[in-house]
Amino acid sequence: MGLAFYTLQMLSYLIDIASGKINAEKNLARYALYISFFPQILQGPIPRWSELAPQLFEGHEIREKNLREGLQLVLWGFFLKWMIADKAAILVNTVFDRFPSYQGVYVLIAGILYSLQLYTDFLACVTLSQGIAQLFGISLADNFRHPYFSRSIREFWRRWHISLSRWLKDYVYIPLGGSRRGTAQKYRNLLLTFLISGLWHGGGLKFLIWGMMHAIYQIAASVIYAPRNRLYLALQMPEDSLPRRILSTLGTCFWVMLAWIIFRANSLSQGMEMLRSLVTVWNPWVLFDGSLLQLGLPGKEWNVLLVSLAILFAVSVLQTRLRLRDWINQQHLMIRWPIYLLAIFAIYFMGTYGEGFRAQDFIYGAF
Amino acid sequence: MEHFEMKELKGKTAGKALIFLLLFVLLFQGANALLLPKNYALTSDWPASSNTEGVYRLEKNSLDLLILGSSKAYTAFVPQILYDEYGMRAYNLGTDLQSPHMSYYWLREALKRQSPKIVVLETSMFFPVITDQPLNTSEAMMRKAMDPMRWSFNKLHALWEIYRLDKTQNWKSYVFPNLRFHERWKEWNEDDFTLSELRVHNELLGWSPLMEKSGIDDFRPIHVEPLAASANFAPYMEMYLDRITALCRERSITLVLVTTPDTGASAATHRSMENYAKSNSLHFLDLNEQECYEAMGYDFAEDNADFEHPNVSGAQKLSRRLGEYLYSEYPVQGGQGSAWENGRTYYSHILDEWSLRGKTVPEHYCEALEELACTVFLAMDKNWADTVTPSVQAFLTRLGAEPEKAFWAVLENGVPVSAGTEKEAYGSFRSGRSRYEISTTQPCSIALDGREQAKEGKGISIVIYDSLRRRLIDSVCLQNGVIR
Repeated sequence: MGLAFYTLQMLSYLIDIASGKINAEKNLARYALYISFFPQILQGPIPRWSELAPQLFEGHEIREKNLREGLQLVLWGFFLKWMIADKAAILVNTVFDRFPSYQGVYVLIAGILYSLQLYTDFLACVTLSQGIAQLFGISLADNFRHPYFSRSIREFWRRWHISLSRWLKDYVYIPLGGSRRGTAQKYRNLLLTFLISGLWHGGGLKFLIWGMMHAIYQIAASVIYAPRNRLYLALQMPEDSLPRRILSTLGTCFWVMLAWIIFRANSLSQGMEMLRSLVTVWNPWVLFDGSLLQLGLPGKEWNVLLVSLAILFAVSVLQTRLRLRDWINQQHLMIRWPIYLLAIFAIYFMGTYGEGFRAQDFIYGAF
Repeated sequence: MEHFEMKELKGKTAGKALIFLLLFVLLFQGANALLLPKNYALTSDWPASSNTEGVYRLEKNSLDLLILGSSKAYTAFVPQILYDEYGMRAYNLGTDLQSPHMSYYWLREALKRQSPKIVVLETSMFFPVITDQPLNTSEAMMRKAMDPMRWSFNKLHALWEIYRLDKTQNWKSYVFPNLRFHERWKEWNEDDFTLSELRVHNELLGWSPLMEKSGIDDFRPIHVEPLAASANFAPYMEMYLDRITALCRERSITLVLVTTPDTGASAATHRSMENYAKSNSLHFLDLNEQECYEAMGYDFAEDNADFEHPNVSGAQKLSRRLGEYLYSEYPVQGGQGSAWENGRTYYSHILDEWSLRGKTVPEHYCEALEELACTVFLAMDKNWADTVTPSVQAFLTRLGAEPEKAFWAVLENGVPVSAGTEKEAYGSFRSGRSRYEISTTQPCSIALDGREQAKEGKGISIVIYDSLRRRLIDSVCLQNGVIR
């Protein structure tokens, strides 16, 4: 239903009015349009009045650029959902739903794939929302900025689900005092903020623990900041050196993945058991003996998934350097159209949809 | 001026969008054609696509006889025999597990362009076959028959009936086949990319020749006692039979019910069909019934490809029996038909292949190879001359083999196109689409597209491949005057 997103949007509107940042809208129709603007209601991004309302009310002509960019985003959204998220879901569901049949390396692979599934699934929905809004000439804010390129958990939360992170920061963390009242207060505020974040994601204990894990990661990173820096320097790895960048990025992904295993597990106890099996079960041969092909995703589907992930990686890297849509729009028709048609038919043929598949709901639609 | 430029810009954009849309629709059509399963007579023994699409390509009002039914019908009745020997322009519109529901809607479809005087309806699907399905057939077989049907009110009606009676079926996927078949990209093969080649070949007009001889030995035709009980029709089947009967009556078409030799038939099913035929003034020909069966000289072990489908010789016997029956009961004065005239060469090619499989003497086998319109691969080691009779030796010498030397050869339509004495040879055939690898070291090896096809043995290995029909015809080893 998207109630969680809807509620946060309403709360931010009311808090902003109460704090005098914005004036209350007197026109019921305008208010209703803001609060129920359909592309983003299901899974965000969670907009602020000051960002979305002016665009909604100013009126927009139908423009080729908007239509083109909107459809590009829709196409990219379908690519993310059907070529990555729903393919990865087949394997992820097998491992998580049949635990303890699959342990050790299976859990590691499922954890990695779930991290990617959750990201692409959520990104797909937001991209579709942005694309549909763009058709009307309305720009919704980005909700992700390549979170798995983050070098710390703190940075991760500046790049992941940006509208929620901003909401929690502006309406929970800062009002609690943020980091201005000493280290102990800062840690308390972090714990409370991520506790609320966990609660927002669901009622189960596992979500609370997942939220706590992220708070503890940040507190731990803060505590070991100085000795860790000394260690890096001793190893001749200054801040911006490539090995350190790779190491810190991979490290961040690893800790995030561990938390996602708890997040995805069917219960907290199952999640803990799965994490335990990562260190207690030794079965690396499953990477080589074809066992991974027995998890519901046959070889050719694996190939499509890996190629799609490579495309996602390449696009993400390019996006850090240029606005890809601008680059595509500048190309000649004879380059643009084949790109579109190739993407459309690749998804049409190889996407995970139709009979024989259980369509996966958008994961964040459940929160 | 600015307004004019803006208008021109919008017109240009709309034009580009239209061109893109047209291009997309064209590619979309191609994509759907690529996704749909291909069941064409050229490369498949179960040619539902050819049989159904082929009926649209027949010359208008050119049919005297239309045959409907399951695979038991389309493997049994040869339109070429009915035309050549009984003067009837017949077409076999059978499809796999074709339930009376499908027969009814395909009859309606065929009658849009044809006005046959006789409709032959094979009866096995009136009785429970796929018992867990409401329409007595599987979803996959339903798709095979219904997907090729052109869009019309008739098809919509057929789909509505499917949806009404079988809630497990997804009607949307009949409209958007990608929902059902988009997974097929994983099994794409040559057929999927040569659709136009497959579509032009329907020379057998619906008949599918099965080449195996694997019928069971202890088959007994049925003997119907006067007081034999009758079997129940499967649910809904009688309803569609009634509709077929009514439609034929309305169009003044003679409807003949026919049962083919089949282990699934019984005195009870015979009695049911007989009762139905009597009460509706129809004719019923049971080729499974003892008297008729024996009169045909049918031998289930020799004339069947399996426990329910006749092979080529079985089909010849059944077609002649049907032809005689129809000719005596309802003589049809059929005219000439180009489809039947043009199909004769292809039919003859099929009979040549069938005849080759029946050869038991090496000399006769080699003679047949010289006449056969196929690709033949031979491989033998240097001692080849010790293992064959003089006349086979003469045949091989004509091809270029020399005593005390290993030899390999590739023949196209009886003529050597490549030969040599090397231990290993490789090359391509079918205009480069397929490859072969031959080894003349014992045991000889002949691999086509990476798959070993030579029969194990110490003699002369021969592999015969039909390049047109893209299939292996035979693989034998000639040794000491014996074909193995």
